[in-house]
Amino acid sequence: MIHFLNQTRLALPQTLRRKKIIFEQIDFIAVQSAPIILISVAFAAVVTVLESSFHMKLVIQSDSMVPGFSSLLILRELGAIVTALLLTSRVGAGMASEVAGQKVSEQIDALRLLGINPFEFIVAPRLVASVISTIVLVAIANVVSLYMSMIVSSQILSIHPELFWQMMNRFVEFKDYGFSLIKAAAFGALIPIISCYFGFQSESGAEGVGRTTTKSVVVTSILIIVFDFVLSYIFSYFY
Amino acid sequence: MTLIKVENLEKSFGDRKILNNLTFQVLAGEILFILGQSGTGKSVLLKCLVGLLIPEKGKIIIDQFDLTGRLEKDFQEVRRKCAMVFQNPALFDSLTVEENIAFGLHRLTTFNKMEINNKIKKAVESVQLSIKILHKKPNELSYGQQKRVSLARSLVLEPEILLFDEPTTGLDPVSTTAINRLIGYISKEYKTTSLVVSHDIQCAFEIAQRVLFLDKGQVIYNDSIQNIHLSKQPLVQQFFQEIQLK
Amino acid sequence: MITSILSFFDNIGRPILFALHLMRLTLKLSFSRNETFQQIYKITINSLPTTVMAGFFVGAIMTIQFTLQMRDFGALSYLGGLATSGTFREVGPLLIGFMLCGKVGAFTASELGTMKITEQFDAIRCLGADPLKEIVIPRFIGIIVSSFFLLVGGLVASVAGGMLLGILYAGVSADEYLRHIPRFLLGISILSGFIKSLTFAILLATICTFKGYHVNGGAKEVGQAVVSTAVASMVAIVLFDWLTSFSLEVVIQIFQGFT
Repeated sequence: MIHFLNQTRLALPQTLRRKKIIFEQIDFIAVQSAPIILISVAFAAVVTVLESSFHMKLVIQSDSMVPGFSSLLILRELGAIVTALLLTSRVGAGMASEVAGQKVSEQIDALRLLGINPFEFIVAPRLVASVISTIVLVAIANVVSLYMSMIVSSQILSIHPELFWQMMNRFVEFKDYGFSLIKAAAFGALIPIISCYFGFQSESGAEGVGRTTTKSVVVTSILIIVFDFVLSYIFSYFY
Repeated sequence: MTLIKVENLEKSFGDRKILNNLTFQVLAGEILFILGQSGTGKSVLLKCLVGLLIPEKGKIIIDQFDLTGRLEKDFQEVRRKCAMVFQNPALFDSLTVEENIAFGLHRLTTFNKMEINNKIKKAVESVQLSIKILHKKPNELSYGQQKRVSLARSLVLEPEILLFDEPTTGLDPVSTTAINRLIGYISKEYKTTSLVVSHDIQCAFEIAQRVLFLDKGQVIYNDSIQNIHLSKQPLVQQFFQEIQLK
Repeated sequence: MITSILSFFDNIGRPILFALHLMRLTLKLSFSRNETFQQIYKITINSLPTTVMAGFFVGAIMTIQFTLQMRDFGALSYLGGLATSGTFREVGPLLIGFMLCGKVGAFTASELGTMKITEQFDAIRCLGADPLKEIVIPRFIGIIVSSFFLLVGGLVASVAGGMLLGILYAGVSADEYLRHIPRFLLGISILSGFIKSLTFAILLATICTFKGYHVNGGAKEVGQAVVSTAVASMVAIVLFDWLTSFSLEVVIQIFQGFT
C-alpha cells in the first residue's frame, strides 16, 4: 500500500499532461453522476429536516430551531458523506471493476511493456479527476440540499423561507462550507486510490473481478466513515 | 432405431437467427460429433435438447417424447434420460466433489444412501479419478479433473444419452486426448448415445461414428467422418485441410 | 424518448415481478431450508465486523455533531438521548443499509453472476432442481433476516461509540449519557428504525439477486452487474428512506388524530 501511494505520488506531476484522460474521468465521475447524486442528496435533506423537527419537538416543544440545526447538519456531515458514499458505489465500484478487468486481461502488463507507467496512465489521472469532481459535486450538493430543506420547512413545518434564511445565517459560518469541501477532497482522494489498489491486485476470472469490486466498495465505505470521524473531530476544535 | 429426432428447429436471440430450419436424427448407441465454427449455434442446440432453451419453431422428439410446448417440470423426465456435460465444468463451488456428484441422485432418484455411495464410487472410477478427491472442493482440482468430475456427475444418473458441450476446450493436448478417449470408452461401457459438440476435428477422427457439420444454423454435412474429404462445402474442406497440415 | 421511458419502467418493473415471484415461492415453503440457514449464518458472521465498525464510528460522529450544536445551549445533558435517538431512528438504518449494499449486495450479485456465467444454474436445472429455490431464495431470505441481526449489532456499537466520545470529547459521564436515553428513545422510534431497516433489506435483496441472476456474458458483465447493484441499491435506499419517513409521519399523525 505504501509502495502504491508512493508510486502514485511520483506519477502525479507527469499525469497533468494527460489532460484527455483527466477530462474523460471528470465527465464520468462528476457529470454522469450528478443527477443521481443531487436527487439523492435532496431526498436526504428532506429526511434531515423531518428528523430534526421530530427531535426538536421532543426537547423544546417547537420547530423554531430546525432551520439552523438541519442546515448545520447538512453542511457539516450530510452533504459530503452522502455524496461520497454514493460516489463510492457508482464511481469506486466502476473503477475497481474497470481496473480489475484491465489487470485480468493483461492490459496493465501490456502498458508496462510499452514503457508507459500504469500509475501515470491509470491511477494518477483518476485521482486528480476524482478530487476535483468530488469537491465540485459536494459544493453543488450542499446548495441543493439547503434549498431543498428550505422548501420542505416552508411546506411541511410552515417556516417562512425568509425566517429560514435568517436562522441559517445566524448559525452557519462560511468555514462550515469550507470544511465540507476539505472533507470532499479527502473522500475524493480515497475512492480512486482504494479502487485502483484493489483493482491492481485482482485475481483472474469472473470471480476475481467480482470479489475485487466488492472488497473495494466495502473498504472505501468504511474508510470514508472513519475519515469523516477523524476530520469532524479535528474541525470541531475550530468552532 | 432413431433416438433423437430434430425437425425444422429455429431459435433466435433478438434479431440474430442462431438455428435456422435445422433437421437431423440421432441413432441409438452412436457417437455423433457436431462440428462447426464458433457461434454457429452448436451449444444452443444442445441446450434446446434438454429444455434449457425453448426454440421458437420446430420439433424435438427424444425417445418418442415430444418436447414441443412442455413446461419446466415436464423436462425432468428428459433430463433424467439425457444428461448434459457443460463447457465450463459448472461444478457447485460450495459443495464437495462427492456432494456435487450426488446432487442429481438426491433430486431425480429415490436410491438409498448405500446405493448412492456405490454409484458415486463407480462413476468416479469410470472417469479414471481416484476416490481420494471425493472430499475436496472443486477449486482444489485441476481443470482437467474438474471436467472429469463434471462428467461423473452426469454419468451417475446412468443416462441413455450424453450431451457434451465442447468437452476439450481449454485443455492441453495431452488432457484433450485423454478426455476424448474417455468419451469413447464411456459410450461403450455405459452403452450410451453421445452427442459431442466440438470444433476439434482431430477428436472427431478418433472416436466419432458420424459427423454433423453446422454453418449458419443449418446442417451442411451429415455423414461418416471417413467421407469428409468428399464434401464439396468449402468450410468443411477448410476444416479437413487444417487437420492434414498437422 | 419513448423507448427510454419504457425501458425506465421496464427496469423498475422487472425486479418487482422477480421479487414477487421469489416471495410466492417462499410462502409455498418450497426452498432449500438448510441452505437458507447457512446463508443467514454466513452473511451475519461475514458482515458483522464491518457493520459494528461502521456503527461505532457513526455513533461517534453523531456525538461530535450534537455536542457542537448543544454546547451553546448548555443542553449537554440531553446529548446521549438525542444522539442515540437520532441514530436509532435514522442514521443507523441508513448507514448500515449503505454498508450492506457494498458488503452483501455487491457480493451476492457477483456470486450469482459468476454462477450464472459458468453455467452452474443450467447444471442445477439439468440435475432436476430449481436454481431459484436452491440458490436464490436462500440468499434473498438470508439477507433480509441477517439485516436484522446486523442492525442490532450496528446500533449497539453506535451507542458504545457515541458514549465513548461523549465521555472523551464532550465530558459527559457515562451515567449522564445513558440517563436521558429512555426519555428520548421512544418505542415508535425504535419501531420506525426497524421498519426502515427491513425495507432497505428487502430492496437490497431484490436488487442484488435480480442483477446477479440475470447476468449474461463474461467476467466484464459480472463486474458491471456488481457496479449497477451497488448504485441501484444505494439510490433506492435513499429514496425509500424518504418514503418511509414520510409515510410513518403520516401514519403517526393519523393515530394521534384518533386519540
